[in-house]
Amino acid sequence: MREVISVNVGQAGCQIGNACWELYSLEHGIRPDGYLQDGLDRPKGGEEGFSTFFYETGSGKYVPRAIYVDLEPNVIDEVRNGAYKDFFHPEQLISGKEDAANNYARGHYTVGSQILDEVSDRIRRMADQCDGLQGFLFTHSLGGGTGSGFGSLLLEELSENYGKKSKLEFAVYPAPQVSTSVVEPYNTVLSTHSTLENSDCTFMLDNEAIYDMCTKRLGIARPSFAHLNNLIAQVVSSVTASLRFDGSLNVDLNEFQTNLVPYPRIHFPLVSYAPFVSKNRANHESNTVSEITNACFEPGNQMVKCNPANGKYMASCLLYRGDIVTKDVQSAVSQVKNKKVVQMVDWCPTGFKIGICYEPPTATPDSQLADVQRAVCMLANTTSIADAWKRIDEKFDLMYAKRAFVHWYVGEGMEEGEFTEAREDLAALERDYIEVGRDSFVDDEEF
Amino acid sequence: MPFAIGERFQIKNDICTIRYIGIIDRWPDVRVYGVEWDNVSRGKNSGSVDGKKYFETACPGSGSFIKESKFLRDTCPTYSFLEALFNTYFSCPGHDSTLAFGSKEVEYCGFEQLDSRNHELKSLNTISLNKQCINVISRDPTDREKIARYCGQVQTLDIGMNLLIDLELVLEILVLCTQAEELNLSGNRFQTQWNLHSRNQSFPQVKRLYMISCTLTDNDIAHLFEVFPSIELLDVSMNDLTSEAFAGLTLPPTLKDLILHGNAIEWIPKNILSSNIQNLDLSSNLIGDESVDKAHHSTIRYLDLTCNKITTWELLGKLNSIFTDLISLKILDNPLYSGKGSIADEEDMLYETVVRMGQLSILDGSDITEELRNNAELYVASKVVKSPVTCDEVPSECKIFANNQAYEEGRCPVTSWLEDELIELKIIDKESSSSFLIHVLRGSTLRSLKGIISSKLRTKIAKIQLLRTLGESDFEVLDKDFSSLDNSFLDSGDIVYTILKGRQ
Repeated sequence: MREVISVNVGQAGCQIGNACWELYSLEHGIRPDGYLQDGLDRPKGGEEGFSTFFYETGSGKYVPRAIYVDLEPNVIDEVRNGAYKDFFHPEQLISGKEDAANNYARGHYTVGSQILDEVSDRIRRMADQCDGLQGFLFTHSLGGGTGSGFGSLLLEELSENYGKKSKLEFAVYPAPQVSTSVVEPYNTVLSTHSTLENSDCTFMLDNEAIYDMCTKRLGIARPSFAHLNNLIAQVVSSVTASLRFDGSLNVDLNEFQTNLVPYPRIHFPLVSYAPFVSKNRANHESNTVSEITNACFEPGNQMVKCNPANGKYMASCLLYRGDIVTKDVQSAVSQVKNKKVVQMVDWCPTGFKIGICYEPPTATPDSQLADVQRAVCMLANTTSIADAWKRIDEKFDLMYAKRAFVHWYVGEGMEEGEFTEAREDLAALERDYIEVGRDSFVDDEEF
Repeated sequence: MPFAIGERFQIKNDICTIRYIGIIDRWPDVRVYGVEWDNVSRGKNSGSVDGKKYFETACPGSGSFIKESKFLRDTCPTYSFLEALFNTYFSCPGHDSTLAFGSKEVEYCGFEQLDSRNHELKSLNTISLNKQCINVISRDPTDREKIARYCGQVQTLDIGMNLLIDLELVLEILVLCTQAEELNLSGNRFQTQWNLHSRNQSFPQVKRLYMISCTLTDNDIAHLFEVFPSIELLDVSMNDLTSEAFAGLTLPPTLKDLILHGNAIEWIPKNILSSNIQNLDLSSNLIGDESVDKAHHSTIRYLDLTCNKITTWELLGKLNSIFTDLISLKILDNPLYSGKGSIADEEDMLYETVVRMGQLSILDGSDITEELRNNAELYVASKVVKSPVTCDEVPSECKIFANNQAYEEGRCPVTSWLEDELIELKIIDKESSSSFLIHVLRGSTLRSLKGIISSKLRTKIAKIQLLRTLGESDFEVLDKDFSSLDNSFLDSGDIVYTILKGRQ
């Protein structure tokens, strides 16, 4: 038993959580009311893998190991009244009464601290149900108030209470196209600073990149959050597929980290996914293994806008799903090698891992993604992801130089010093990335 | 190895058809193969070199000439279906192959299990032999027996991007794969017609068929439905089919999805409209403004008209009356929508489209929310009032037009929001027996009413008293100075009497 508890915090976190659990339930053959689909006698995906994400009640109902937290009731009320209302136990859905108003300080200090005890109590109870809890999967946004503020607070709490358990994060990185507030750069920097020590591995999901995929690949004229979340769910599902289905790479969360994280701070792997094909176009591009593998190395398929050609890879995982044969994978990987797009750093011992899961991806009925027979998801720790930090830091500096909007944070009891501290930490992170990209061996006999 | 014109080969990663074998003026000493590439961008010319035409290409720029030495070196060997099957699923190249990035070897995890799983061919539901240079199915009868044994249970069969040129081969494989529900033949350029007169075969097991870019002709479509009588999804994109291909055919009642992306369809045949099809994809065709006849009716729910030749709003009106069950419409990239760059124009187009398509809930992949629809209706209503919009029948679909008589006439009397708030009172002055009308806000107090009256009567506010009749001769004194007119139950048309204070 290697259980994983999913923790969804804030509006974005909860909505992504919804999209993910809808997809998981389809993939494992579970109906929205928590019972098995007709014609199945046990959930798809093997007992071991399945039980990491779901538990079975006495009545044969399957309940996700998930918890939803938001400081205001709206989003969670939608879960309570939505199609999946019977899927969750009421105890798993926690909402406060006062929202964080896009303010990190409210989420982290004033409002968030009131709800913290209740949340950690519920998580404790859920953890007690597990035989061998392996860790937590966090989903939250970096731009909002609850996601950034309360998310980081809860992560701190969890690392205090469950020190050795892994904490993986899916963090939504803000984008101007679907922005809800001007203070997103503040929240992002502050939140990243306070989670840097507490999260073991953070997969960033850049709304801008995903927005572009929706418009360019799927032909959605005006993508809404629902569309973005559907894509995100597909990617998250691919990353977690190896945990949920038996017999594949990364059977536990620790392995993710050991493969991908060479230094504790350098824990932001770049996620890419292929193929992104819209319905009605499922077979138009031939989705052979070599084509989807190559697509993974194209910037258009990355979840964060950055150019890996400018950086170096420290480690990389390719996770294939569906109908795959060994021969194709080997020739695809050698093609990638021949193209010389992947430049590895010379000092890092972890390398290039390839894993497989037989279950093909599923598309939810209302998503625009096509049902495909195979897909691949790449997790790559590359130094080019520092571009994302550079972008957000610039936006932060622009506002902070004039101390714009800082009073909202000071008003909630934060000190200005925390801004400077967070910003310096991020600057250090950028420098760390430059440092790890450097070749370590200096050949003094040749110049 | 002798090669013939018309044969297809895969050279490196691209598939081509031989169009010319012989000598060209530029290289008089060597035999040269003139080929036409499936991938147009791979080509270097259109079959002519140094001004001399050697062969024709269907697509300009898709041809090139290859010296025999290179041709022989780079051409991938061709396989039979069975050989490709064994190659793909049985070969076990060994996991210790030393592929490395820099100093790091590539690690494979879980591939032993994958291999052992794949070796159990008989238990696989999906077999995919995409781009495996297959040009024949079997080389001798024992092959067929083996295929039947290994692939008898396969549900999804993908033999796309291969070198099959004879449709007979498709029939041959289907006889063996009796459970195949999904068949992908995309990218095989078939050069023969169905030859059904010899055998009257049909394959009701096939539910989903993909024949994208297979050089099908209009005639093939009719035969297609004979061969696959219970097909549910048919994708025949990129085949240069015209509307004639479907005209007059009886479509199988099972057909739900018809994908005709990238063909040359100019009008939507009647039998497609009246069939059971739910999802019709006509993107990248030649659908123009006269493509449908208003008299028809269709139950299609998902319609894709991206990248066509629609130029007028009238077509949308027609679509709306024909496709009464439509849920989703994609209509981007039509001339109607292009040429207007600014965001304001885009918004304008969006609103007009939303209003014109009454039932639609998804437009271009995005949901139409209640709010968006209301905004759009208001916006278009305001445009109708200013009359820059031609709309003959749109208003009937649109709530705001239906609810408001004024809009239906196409113009609107100038009424302000204030009118609902104003009440008209008749004031009768008992002293002078004069009467007059005044307009006053519903929410104003009795005291302000008194103020208005007293100034009209040229007297002081404190000197007058207001009364109202309650029946024949009963009067009620309105003396709650600071309550509003609403609360005193005064409404338009009421009569208010004024007297000097102290009198009864």
